[in-house]
Amino acid sequence: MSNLFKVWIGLLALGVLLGLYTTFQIFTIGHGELANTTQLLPWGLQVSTYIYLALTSTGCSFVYCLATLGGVDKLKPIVPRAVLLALLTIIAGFTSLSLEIGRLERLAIEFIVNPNLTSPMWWMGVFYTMYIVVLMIELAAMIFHIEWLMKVGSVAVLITAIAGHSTLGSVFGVLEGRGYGFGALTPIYFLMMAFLGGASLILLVSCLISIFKGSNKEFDEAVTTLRKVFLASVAIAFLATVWRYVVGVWVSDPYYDLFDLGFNKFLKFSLLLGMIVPVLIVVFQKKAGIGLALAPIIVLVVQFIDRNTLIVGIQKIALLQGVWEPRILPYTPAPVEISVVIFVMSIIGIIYSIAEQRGFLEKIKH
Amino acid sequence: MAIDLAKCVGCQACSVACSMENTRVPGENWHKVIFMNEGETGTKKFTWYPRPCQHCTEAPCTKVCPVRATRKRKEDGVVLINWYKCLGCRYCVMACPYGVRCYPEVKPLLEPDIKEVYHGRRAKLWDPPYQLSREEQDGKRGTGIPPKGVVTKCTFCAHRTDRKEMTPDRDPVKDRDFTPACVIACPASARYFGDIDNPESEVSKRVERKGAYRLREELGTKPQVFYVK
Repeated sequence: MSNLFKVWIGLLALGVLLGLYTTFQIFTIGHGELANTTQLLPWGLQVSTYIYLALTSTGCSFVYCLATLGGVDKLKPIVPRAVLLALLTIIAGFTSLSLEIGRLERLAIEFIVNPNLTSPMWWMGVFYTMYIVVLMIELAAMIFHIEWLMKVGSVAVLITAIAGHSTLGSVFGVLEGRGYGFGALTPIYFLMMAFLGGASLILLVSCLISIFKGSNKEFDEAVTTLRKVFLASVAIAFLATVWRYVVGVWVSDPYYDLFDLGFNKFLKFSLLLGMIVPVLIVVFQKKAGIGLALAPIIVLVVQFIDRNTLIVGIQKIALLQGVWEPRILPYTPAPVEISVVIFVMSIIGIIYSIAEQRGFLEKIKH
Repeated sequence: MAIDLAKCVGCQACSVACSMENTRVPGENWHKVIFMNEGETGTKKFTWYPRPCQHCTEAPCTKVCPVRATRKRKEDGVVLINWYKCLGCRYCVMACPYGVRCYPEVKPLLEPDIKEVYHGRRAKLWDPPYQLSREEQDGKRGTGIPPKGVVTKCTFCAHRTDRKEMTPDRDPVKDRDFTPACVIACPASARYFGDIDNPESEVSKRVERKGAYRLREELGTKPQVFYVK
């Protein structure tokens, strides 16, 4: 174990400890008292982090299904990594969400005892529970090398990933009073953006493995294929983002105004920095390394900020605001919300790093 | 409920009466009077909009609540929250197009935090010296002091109105104890509370005679609060 790895694990462990302390504070003082969410802006950074991680998880599953169901054999070396990352990101996402819920102790019981079949959130809970279970079974099938279960599992992962994530999109898509997120295409938009998140994370991990573990022919071929997958995912996300914005800017309803107000940021940040620059990097950087890793890092950071812009943006234009009330509601994440984000990211980092360092993922047959 | 906008003077008595009757923490506005301007410069029209919960016929909050904690009562169409089921996920707050739902457990609006001054016991959010009687406090209807971590909103003063059988009208003087606090408190008598489905009630007569509209009607939520022109 190198010193650099020890420092890395140490930092992540600090993140986990900080998160545990924050969790203790949330349960003793109350989340509402500590967070910067308000009566008019009820969902903040933790919800947007959940969306971001759920989106990334779904993307990882898509890349995994591309290898197993799509017959892209060159992606085989990343198959166990994709499944583990999908599982870790979705669990971390739910951790972030759980720590924002007012009465967490009622969650499981009430969901079973009092289901509301008209609620997208209830269906989201059902589909994501199925998704997590299926991912766990898939990982177990890989570890014990049960081939028929792996095949069935791949199909189940794809179905539950699409169902779960599009339903998550519908959670916002049905909010008819909030123009920034409302619409039948929101579930589809979420799915299209998911592919980008997953492809970026797996490309980043693959680059880091090449840097720290050294590359081999099989892995180099996987990275070459991943570059193409990444470019395809950017193209899909670009299309979804541009059209969503064009429609948003075109609509004159005041509840869509945020599209106009954020147009400059959208052009310079989301499109130019978040999509065009990474594409150029991937086109010119053919070998796995620090240069190539820069592209997914930029995408992942921009997507994280964009998810927050979307979720907070849905609430930012106050409903029925009076003359003396601000038209755009202010929101800055509180330290407790940032700590939770560090906590969940550290959970992903620490488990994955140890699994990778111990060679656990290389032992898995695929 | 019908609110005559021509009579409303924007005095906020209804908001204060609501907060006092239902013992809300500062910032937890179950009832607001919103001052809005409409139209273009030169023809601008300023209007006061008293805004209680609209108790929509097609309430988005009841559709989105994952555990049916928010429900619509069949007998009178009033939308209520069951605090014993509510998860505090705040999806209903997001879904409400009128911004009438509150989550009292947020950073205090004023210092010192009144919730700290009157510490809540037995999982209650706080324990103020003046609050509804034990009989009137009902977590299943969402009246009184809530527990921590749940969503709250206007109940049309269910603890008062439920004490009397359904009648076409509630006279703010004769039926004082059975009428919502905001209706009693209005010095301009701009508010009318009764059965909109009964053609003999004052509410339906006023709506019929003077014409009325509802907030954000384009959404199809069919609010039960009518704004008389």
